[in-house]
Amino acid sequence: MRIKRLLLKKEIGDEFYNEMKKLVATVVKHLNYSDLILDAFGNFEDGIEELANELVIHFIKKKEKFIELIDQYLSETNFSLETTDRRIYGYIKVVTENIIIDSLKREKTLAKDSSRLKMETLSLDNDELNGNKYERIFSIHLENLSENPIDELRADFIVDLFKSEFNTEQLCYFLYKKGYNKEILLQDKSDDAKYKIIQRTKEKLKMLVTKYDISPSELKISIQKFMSNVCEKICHNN
Amino acid sequence: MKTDILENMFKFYKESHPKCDSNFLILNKLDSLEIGDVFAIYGESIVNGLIIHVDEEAKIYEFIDLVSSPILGDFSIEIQVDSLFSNHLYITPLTFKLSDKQIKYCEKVYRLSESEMKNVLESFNKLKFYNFSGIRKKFLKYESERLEILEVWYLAEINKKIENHENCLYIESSILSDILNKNLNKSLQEELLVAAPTHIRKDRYMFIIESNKIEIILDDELVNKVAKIILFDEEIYSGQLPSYIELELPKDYVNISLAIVAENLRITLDQ
Repeated sequence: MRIKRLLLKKEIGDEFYNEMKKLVATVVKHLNYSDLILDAFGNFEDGIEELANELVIHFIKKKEKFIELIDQYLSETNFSLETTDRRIYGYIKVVTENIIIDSLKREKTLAKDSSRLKMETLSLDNDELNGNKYERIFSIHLENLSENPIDELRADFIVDLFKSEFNTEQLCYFLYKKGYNKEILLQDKSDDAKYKIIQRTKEKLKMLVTKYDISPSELKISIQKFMSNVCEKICHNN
Repeated sequence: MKTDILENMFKFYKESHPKCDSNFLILNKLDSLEIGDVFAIYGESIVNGLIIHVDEEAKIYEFIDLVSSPILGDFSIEIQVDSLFSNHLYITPLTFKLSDKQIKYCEKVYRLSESEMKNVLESFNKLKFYNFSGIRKKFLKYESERLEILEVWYLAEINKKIENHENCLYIESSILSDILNKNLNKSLQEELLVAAPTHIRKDRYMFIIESNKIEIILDDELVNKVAKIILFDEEIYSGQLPSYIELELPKDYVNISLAIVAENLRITLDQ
C-alpha cells in the first residue's frame, strides 16, 4: 500500500511531502477555504506548503501507530486491499481537514483585527418567545464569545444575507440603537415609524437566526462586519 | 451572494465520513471502558465517542458522539485529544450505546478529567434539547444515519432482553391519548419532531422510541421500588416498579418527539 510504503522509508522525503501537498490542496478546494488560507498565510501557495508541512509532521509523530493500524487492517481477512486503501485514504482526509482547522486557528489573524467595532451586548430579548433557542441567541454577551476562523467564513455569508434581506439603513439604525443606544440615520422618520422599524427588524433577524441556525459567535462577527463594512460607510456618505 | 460555508463542510463531511457498515476493525485492546474515556472505532469511517454512562451489570456503555468537524460551531464545545486522526473533537447532542460485545472494536484515545467531564456534560445537557435547523439539522440527521448500525445492534440486544423478560409494565395507548391531546399543542409537537433522538437517558432511566411505542428501561436500583409514574402532571401508574415500561403510542402520536416525553415524564418514589 502506497501510504505505508512512503511512511516506511527511512526518511520521509519529497514524495510523501508532495502527496500531502496534493491532499491539502484538494481538501482546501472541497471546503472552499481558499479565502481563509489567503488571510492567514498571505499567499495561497505558501499556505498550502505550510499546511502540508504540518501534515507531514503529524505523520512523523504518529508514524508507528499509523503503521500499526494499517497492519491490523492488512492482517484481517475480512478486509480486501481495496477496502483498506479506501478507508485509510478516507481517514487521512479527515486528519487533513483537522490539521487545516488547527493551523488556521493558530494563525488567528482575523480575530486580531483591531479595527473592529466593539459592542458590549446586543439584547434582543422578546417576552413572547421564551424558547431555549431564543434565550440562548438573544441574551448573549457578544464580547465574551470566542471566535474561530470558520465562524468568520460563515459570517461573510450572513453579511450577504443581511444585505439582501434587510433595508440596510433600517438594519444599521436598529443595530446602533440596540447596541449603543445611539440614533443614526432615519432622521426624517417619526418616533412611531422608528418603533415599528425596530420591531420588524428584530422579528426578521430572529427569523433568519432560526432559519439558518446562526450561532452566537457567528451572529456577533456578522453584526460587527456589517456595522463596519456597511453602516459606517452609509454614515460617512450622509 | 456567497455560499454558506456550512454547505461545503457538510458535503465534505459526508464524503469523508461514509455511512458505517457492520465491518469494524477488531483491535481487541480493551476489556471495558469507563466514564470519561474517549474512544475511536475504525469502520467505513471513524467513530469517536465519550463514555457518559456504564451499566456494569448489563455491560452497556452509553456515549456521546464526538465529531472532528466544527460544523456545529459554538453551539458545541471542543475537547482537546491526541489521537491518530484528530487533535480536537466536538460534542454532538447524539448518544449511542455499545454492548460489551463491541468493546473489541474500541481504541481508547483520551481520558477526560473530572472537571473536563463536568464541563462537557453541562454543555451536552443544553445541546441535546436545542432544536437545530437548516444545515446543522441535516448534519445531525446524517450523523444518526452514519452510525445507525450501532443503534441497530443495540436495539436488537435490548429487544432480546425485553422479550425474555417478564418484569414489564404495559401502558396502553388509550391512557396516553387523553393526556397527550390535552397537553400537546399540535404545532409545537410538529416543530419538535424533527431530528429527534431515538433514545434519551434521564436520571436513572432511559427512553427508547420504537415504531409505535416508547420503552423505558429503569436502572436496577429503581426496580421493585414503590413509585408513581407521572406524565404531564397526571399519574399513569402507581405501584411497584418493573425493569421495563412500554408506552403504547396512540395512532396520532407515533411520530412524537422522544424529547417531549422524556422531558414531561417523571418517576417519583413513594417515601
